[in-house]
Amino acid sequence: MIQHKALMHEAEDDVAVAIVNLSKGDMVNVMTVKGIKVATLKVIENIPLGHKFSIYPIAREKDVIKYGHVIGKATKDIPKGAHIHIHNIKSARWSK
Amino acid sequence: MVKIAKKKLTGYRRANGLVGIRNYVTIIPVDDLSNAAARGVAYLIRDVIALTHPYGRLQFGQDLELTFNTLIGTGRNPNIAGVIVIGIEPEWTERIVEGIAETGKPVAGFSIERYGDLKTIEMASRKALEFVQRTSEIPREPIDMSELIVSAKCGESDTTLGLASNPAIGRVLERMIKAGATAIFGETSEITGAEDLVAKQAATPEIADTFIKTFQDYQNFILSTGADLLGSQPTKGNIRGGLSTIEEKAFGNIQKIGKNKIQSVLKPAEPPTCAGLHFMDSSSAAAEMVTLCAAAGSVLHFFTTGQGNIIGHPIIPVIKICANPLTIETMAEHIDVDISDMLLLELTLDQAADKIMAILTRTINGRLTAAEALRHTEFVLTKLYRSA
Repeated sequence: MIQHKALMHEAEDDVAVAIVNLSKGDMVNVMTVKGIKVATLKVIENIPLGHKFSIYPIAREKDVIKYGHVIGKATKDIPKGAHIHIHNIKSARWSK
Repeated sequence: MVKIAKKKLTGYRRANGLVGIRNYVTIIPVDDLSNAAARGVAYLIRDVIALTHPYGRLQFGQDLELTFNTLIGTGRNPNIAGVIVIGIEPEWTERIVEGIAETGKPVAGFSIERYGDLKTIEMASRKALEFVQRTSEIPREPIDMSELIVSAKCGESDTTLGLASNPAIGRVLERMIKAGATAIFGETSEITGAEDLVAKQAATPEIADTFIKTFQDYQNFILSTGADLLGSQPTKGNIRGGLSTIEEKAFGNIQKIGKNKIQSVLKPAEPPTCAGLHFMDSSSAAAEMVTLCAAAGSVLHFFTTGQGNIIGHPIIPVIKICANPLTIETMAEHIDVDISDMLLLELTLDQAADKIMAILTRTINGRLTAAEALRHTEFVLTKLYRSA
């Protein structure tokens, strides 16, 4: 079995978490925390350990799902395999 | 769990029946002015801890009550065998002495006015000497898991907490509570986004309502300041670790309550009145929250960290659990339990919980945690608003 390098909480999540530093172009196996393989995909940016990347393309203004719940909204169109962080998602709370 | 019940645990059963796992004599200054005398006593007499802090003057209303409750509650904590209270004047000093004396433990108060620091230090040191010698003869005795009050909070969180450390603590708390223990969690601001999930775990609809009201009151307080928490929650450390929004942080945070039902909503520093899990309205700042938990009677704190929060407390052991391999490599001296193999799926949730429970048993029985050995003694009062 090829070792996974990223974990997801729920199979329906939009994002996975890198469990090692990933380099742009790496092919990455993604598993859920319960050990179910979800995807193999190429990351298109460097993803530091603990940071997230998209499993699917996410359109601007769409909810971003992790833990099976909404963790924020995309502030721009996000392609598959891209680094997801404060530059392209934001909280839906405390906004005026 | 049978496995837990069979482990031999030892501690100190106090006059009021509460059980501690440490055996300290402390000096509690009533106010900032009395820190110097408190330190003077702690310098002269071995094994005495001065709980110095910057407040206690011209506070009023709820803020003053919280300072009293925190200082009295800390003095009442069963990890403490005897207390010396030192204040600038006798009246508030006596109020704290009386609050602690209800537990039946030795306590004595001294006030500095009409004596000065030096005479006060001499008088208090003679009393501290007596307390320390008496305390040194108190033996450990067998205790039961059901007699323990513990607390849990995470700090310098990152995505590894939601993946590993917090679910592992959730499992530990499920086991401990099944064995009859009491546990406190809190961090009102850090529940934001996951508040409905927490409310669903309330034992009754009334408790759920109280929780939501407490949560909403804090949200309203933030709004009333004209600010928001977007620049503070998640923290810069959280962001560095990969957490992007408060909701993401909250969903990770609440993993640590496991499947336990919430038995009550506590005010800051308020002791729980029954076994099981309790939510305390509290800050998410590590030292403030742990200080409030200790004042509510927690004798041990579970602290999960991702990026490496190094907090300790003067009178309760803080066990650090970490699953981030970079933090474990670079800050090893601060970490008590390494469960990073969970990320590799080579350590199951139950195995991680076993690993934490093994350190828990040893810590209860006297093993120093990393924070204790490194002299991390953060004692930080929660201040609700500025003094008069």
